[in-house]
Amino acid sequence: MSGVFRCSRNFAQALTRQVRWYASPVSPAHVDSTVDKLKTETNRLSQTTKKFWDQVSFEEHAETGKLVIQLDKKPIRTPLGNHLAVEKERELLARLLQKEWSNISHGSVKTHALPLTSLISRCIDLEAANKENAHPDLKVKIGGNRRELSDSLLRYLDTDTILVFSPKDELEGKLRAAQDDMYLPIIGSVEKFLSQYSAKTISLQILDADVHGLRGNAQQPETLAAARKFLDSLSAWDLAVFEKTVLTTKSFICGILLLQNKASANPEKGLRYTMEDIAKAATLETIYQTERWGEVEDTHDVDKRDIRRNVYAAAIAAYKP
Amino acid sequence: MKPELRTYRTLVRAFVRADRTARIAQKAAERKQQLALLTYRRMNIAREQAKKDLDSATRMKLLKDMSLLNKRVEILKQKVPENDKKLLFVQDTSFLRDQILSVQDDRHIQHLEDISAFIDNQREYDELIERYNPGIRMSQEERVKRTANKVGFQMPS
Amino acid sequence: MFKSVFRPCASAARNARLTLPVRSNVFTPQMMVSPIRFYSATTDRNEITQKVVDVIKAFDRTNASADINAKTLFHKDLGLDSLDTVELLVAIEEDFDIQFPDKVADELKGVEDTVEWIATHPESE
Repeated sequence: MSGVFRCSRNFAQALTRQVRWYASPVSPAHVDSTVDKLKTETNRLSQTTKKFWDQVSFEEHAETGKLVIQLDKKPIRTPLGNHLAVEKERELLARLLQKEWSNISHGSVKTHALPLTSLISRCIDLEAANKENAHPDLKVKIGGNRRELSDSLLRYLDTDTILVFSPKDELEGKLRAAQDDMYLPIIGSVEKFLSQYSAKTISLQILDADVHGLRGNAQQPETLAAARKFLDSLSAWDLAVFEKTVLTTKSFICGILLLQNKASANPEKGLRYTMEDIAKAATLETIYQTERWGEVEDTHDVDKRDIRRNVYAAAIAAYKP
Repeated sequence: MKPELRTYRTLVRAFVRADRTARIAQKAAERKQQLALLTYRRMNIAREQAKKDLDSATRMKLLKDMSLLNKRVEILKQKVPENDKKLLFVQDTSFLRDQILSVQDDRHIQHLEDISAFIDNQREYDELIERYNPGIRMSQEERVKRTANKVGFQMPS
Repeated sequence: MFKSVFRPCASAARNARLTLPVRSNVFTPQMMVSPIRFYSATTDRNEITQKVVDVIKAFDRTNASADINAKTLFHKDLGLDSLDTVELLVAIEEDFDIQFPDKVADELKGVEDTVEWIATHPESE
């Protein structure tokens, strides 16, 4: 028995190397490896890849009043050791987290099966690490230093999916037409949106393959300053949602669109988009490539679902009743 | 169709589909457990029957018990978890009903639609991963057992 | 292509008439066009009804679980409210691998309506 167990742990460790509990744009060097050794359910799961509980439930915490998700009556902990818990008003979210764990039916557990848990854990940990009296080590452990996080997120603005335009002669010009159609209005609205955070009028630098060739792209310093100000205005929770969206869509702008539509009750006028629009905007090139060349099994279909499950998970996390 | 009802339908459908695999697995596990229990009881009766100094009344009773147990095993074996019609319903819809009945604005409806879309995409993602990586859901024990079988060994149970 | 399908069909009808001379005079011209389809449609309806009834029986919010038949109405007989009905229709959709269009779903009040729609929409997605 113990032999089998050890064997499964080695196998699992190989798996953990690939899939972290939550992805961070900060390079792995910034993430302390000790966080993997914390004895939390989330880590235990990825180390054993074996179901070790019978009952998933949630319960109101006596002190915090939050709903704590539990495995066999013991609270699930995030990678930093916090309770996996949500405000009482978000019972639906608690239900979804519970469901995510109870739907793991098989002997083995895949870490990719828990996208909502991993995102909410990130939200909770980022919040905890950035509390006023939090121990500075916590930030180091999860790559949660907001300045560094902003730095790495701002880099996405240079090569933002929404700012890169294909040559007009590619795919009979269909892709470029679709990009002009969809991206240009978004860019205009986002420029207006970011201008709120700057004394100057913000103008986003696009990368047009026909005009600029294959050079890199860099935003103006005032654009970056405005975008940084916007990031600073976000709560830690929303920042984690934003981070998830940017990593999923490879687009800073999609992050703005998602938060505008889900975190606030009144999105700015030109920024009203559905989550499907966001997923579409982020994958416009693939959509037209597959239309022309066909879908590559095991790649395009998986990616399509992967992007959407992550965008929708972010939408759910961002929503406040 | 009222928008709330349509949203409710989307939610219910998403939950039914997403829960199916886990519920089948759970039912299969329960069935296995019940079968093991019945087999154990049959063994006990067989042991009793093997005794020599039994009067005919006891012998009759044991025979009856045994045939009853056999019947139960038969019934259980015929119950295929996949065909259980209960799988077509969400187990507990009370929280979904509460949501629909308390819908206040379009934003709330949108949120519920997002939840359905999340669940659907997650399920479809899982199904694709499973299709392209057969056996990924197998437990390590099962994997070892199958590998052993392949080369003609059997794992001690 | 069409010919080859049609021919055995026609001969089957002829054979049926030969072996069952008494019944053959009951056939109306309309029935003669596709006797096989006519026959299977009625058994389909019985089968469909049975399947729908089985789904209803598995629904734990119905109040009259014992006596469910083709005439049973969802609201009047089973006491289902509009949300319950949505749940039931989703279950039926999943069982038959079909989807009722919005308009249709609004109109389905009982077992008979539901069976009728399923029977007449074999190709529905």
